[in-house]
Amino acid sequence: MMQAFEKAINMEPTQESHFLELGQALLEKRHADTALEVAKEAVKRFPASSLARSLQGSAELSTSRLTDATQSYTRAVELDPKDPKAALGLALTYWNANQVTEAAKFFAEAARKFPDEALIQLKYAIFLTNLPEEETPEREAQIKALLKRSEQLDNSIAETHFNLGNIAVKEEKYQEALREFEAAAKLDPDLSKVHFAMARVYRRLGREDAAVKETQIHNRLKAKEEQDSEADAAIGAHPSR
Amino acid sequence: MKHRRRFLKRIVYAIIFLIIALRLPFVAAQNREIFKDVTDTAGITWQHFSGESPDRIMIEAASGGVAFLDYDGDGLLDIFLVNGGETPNGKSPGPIKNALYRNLGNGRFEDVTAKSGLEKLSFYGMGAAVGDYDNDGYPDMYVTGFPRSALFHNNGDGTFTDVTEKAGVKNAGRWSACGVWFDYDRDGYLDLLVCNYTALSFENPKNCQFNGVRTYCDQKVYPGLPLTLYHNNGNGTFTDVSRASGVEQFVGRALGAVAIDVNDDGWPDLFVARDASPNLLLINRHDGTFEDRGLDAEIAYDENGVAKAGMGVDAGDVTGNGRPAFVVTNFNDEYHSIFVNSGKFPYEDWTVRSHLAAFTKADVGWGTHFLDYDNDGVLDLVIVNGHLNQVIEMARGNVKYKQPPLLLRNDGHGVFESMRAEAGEAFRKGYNARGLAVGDFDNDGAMDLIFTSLNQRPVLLHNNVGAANAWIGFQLEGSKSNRDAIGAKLTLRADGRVLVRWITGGSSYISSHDKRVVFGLGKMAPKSLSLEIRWPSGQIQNISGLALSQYQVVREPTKP
Repeated sequence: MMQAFEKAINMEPTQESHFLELGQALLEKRHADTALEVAKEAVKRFPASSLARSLQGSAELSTSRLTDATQSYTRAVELDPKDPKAALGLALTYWNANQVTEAAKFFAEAARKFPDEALIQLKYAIFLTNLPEEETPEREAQIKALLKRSEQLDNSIAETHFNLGNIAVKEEKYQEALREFEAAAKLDPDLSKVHFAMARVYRRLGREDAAVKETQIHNRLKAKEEQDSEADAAIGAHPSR
Repeated sequence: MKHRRRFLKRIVYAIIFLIIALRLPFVAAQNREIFKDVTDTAGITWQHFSGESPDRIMIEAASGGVAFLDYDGDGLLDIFLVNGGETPNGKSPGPIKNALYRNLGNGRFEDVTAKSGLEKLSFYGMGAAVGDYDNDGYPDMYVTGFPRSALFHNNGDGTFTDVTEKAGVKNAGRWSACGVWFDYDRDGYLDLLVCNYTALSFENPKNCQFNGVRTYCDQKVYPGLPLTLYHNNGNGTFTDVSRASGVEQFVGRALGAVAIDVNDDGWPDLFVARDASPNLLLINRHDGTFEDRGLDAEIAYDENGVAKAGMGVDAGDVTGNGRPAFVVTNFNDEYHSIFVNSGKFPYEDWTVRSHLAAFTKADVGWGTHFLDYDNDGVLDLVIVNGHLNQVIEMARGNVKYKQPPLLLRNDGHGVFESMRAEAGEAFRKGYNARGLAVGDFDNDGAMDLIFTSLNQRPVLLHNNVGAANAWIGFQLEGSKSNRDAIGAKLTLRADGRVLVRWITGGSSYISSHDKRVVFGLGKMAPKSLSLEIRWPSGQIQNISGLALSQYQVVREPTKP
């Protein structure tokens, strides 16, 4: 696939989409450093493109170059304030950089500007869930509302169901939690954390056999995930989200 | 004109007043310093050596065990420091030496390493576990490391003898981190759990880069190892019961462990902190075997099924419910964890509720201990931190390579506040800290600290505030139980207030604490005071007529 993109670039070097697709494919294959090279080339060739800047930000975020990623995403937002990807990337970068106040500001802004973007509603909810301060009832309600909105906009995101399931676990509504986790597992059967969460609920319900089964699936998927991750990863090199 | 001059004068006075007012809290904070760095005045000059090299071999970033122990039985806590070692491309200009510092009782320590028999190791040193395995009244020492470990018997005359081969506790071929002395079968002799970390080789080190700079590899690159459990035969030898006890099946990257009776059945259990492997809660089945209930307790993974980078661990009653809660130190972005044991599974994850999450987001944590630093009767928390990745700041400006320790004050309900401003200068400076030991080296009833730092001198901190409150201390001596009384549960009743403490095995990160128990009692001396001891043997002893502000030696009655 990669060769096909490279070939396309050589044939049509003025076609921005070839660069973007190659960069995205490289990121998905965890070749973030190479993706960064492609993104830089795209930015050089298409300096007015918000998408090229976003790709660069994404590659920089993947390689923990957070200062650079902030600059790339900021520029992308300037170039196209209507680009939801750039707005989300900027918020995520600040979050990864532990700049929580700025992250909160950009998440809130993105959620307000793009109320119909399911992914933005979801990521904002996850951000609020992971804040180190204890949840207030207002924040809990806000998280739930964001997740419900995300689900309403796009019912096919496993992560949304996973997070709704976790809220149900906190509220000790275990049947509801299982329904959400099962929906998530159906959408993305390889998502190990869903099976971990299901095992946790089954254990709490005293359904030991079901818990063991889900734990086995979690362990198998987790091992695969670790195997797939880069063999020469440096400690602390990967952003946590 | 006159008015104008008066007005200007007033402004000048106001500015002077403001300067003084703003400076006052700073001066007051300095005067109130909770812990004072006394390393220099104590005469501690030893420096750690990690063998740091361009190869970036993981062990270079993980050593630095420290122990408080009274090796000569003079009633004063001495200090033992474990050195790391050389790596193929990390050579020392001089010989690599451990250090044994004898407490002279006047705030100064004397280096007695040369004559102690503890000076050199034939392997890369990691941690120290202190325990009187032969019940002769003198603390012995297990030193962990790579590719083996060693047991040193205290001869009672200021010297130690390496008895590893005879005892059968070499743990050959393994990189071991923590050693935990505890009497799992309650036969009166301390057994030994050894946490093994990862497979390691000095040959062909792995090459991992961060932003183009070579650094340490992610721990998941290295396969974990099984735990080792040695049973004490009571005759100076040990039997490897790793398989028979079931602990051998728990393969993973174990770094820290604490032995404590988590379910109050009188038998010691284990909480094992593991690095990117699920934490373990090994429940003692009373028949020489253990069962992992980590998943039931929900301490093994985070909510996403991810095993955090568990390193140090400790247990203590932080909520006043009479049951041990657990603290586990982790990697940056993971938060250090607190699990509250409410007497049933699952345990409650109090990482956010306790405020620990808010204080530890950017920290990589190592040694940790629950201690009542101000003797108000509530267990507070100390944690030492430091990153591994030398170039982390290139990308993560707010995650520092050198990180300050944390002193957290408990409000009595398991919610903590940071004492950074008052804790002392050492809590505002960055270190690559690793081992942490807690003990009262000047016997004033206030818990002091010592922590190590990679390739630096250790930091000895004297507690300036604890002695201002009422306290009572106990040194337990087992007779039927192991002499150190590891596994004992102490319940103090003071005017209706009930405080519960345990003598634990292990805890912190590759370090060993003072085994005495101090109860802080706050400002007011209680009118009624009584102590119940549940000895490891199961015997219950009740004591009343206790005197405050001193340590009391309590011997286990030979006849119940």
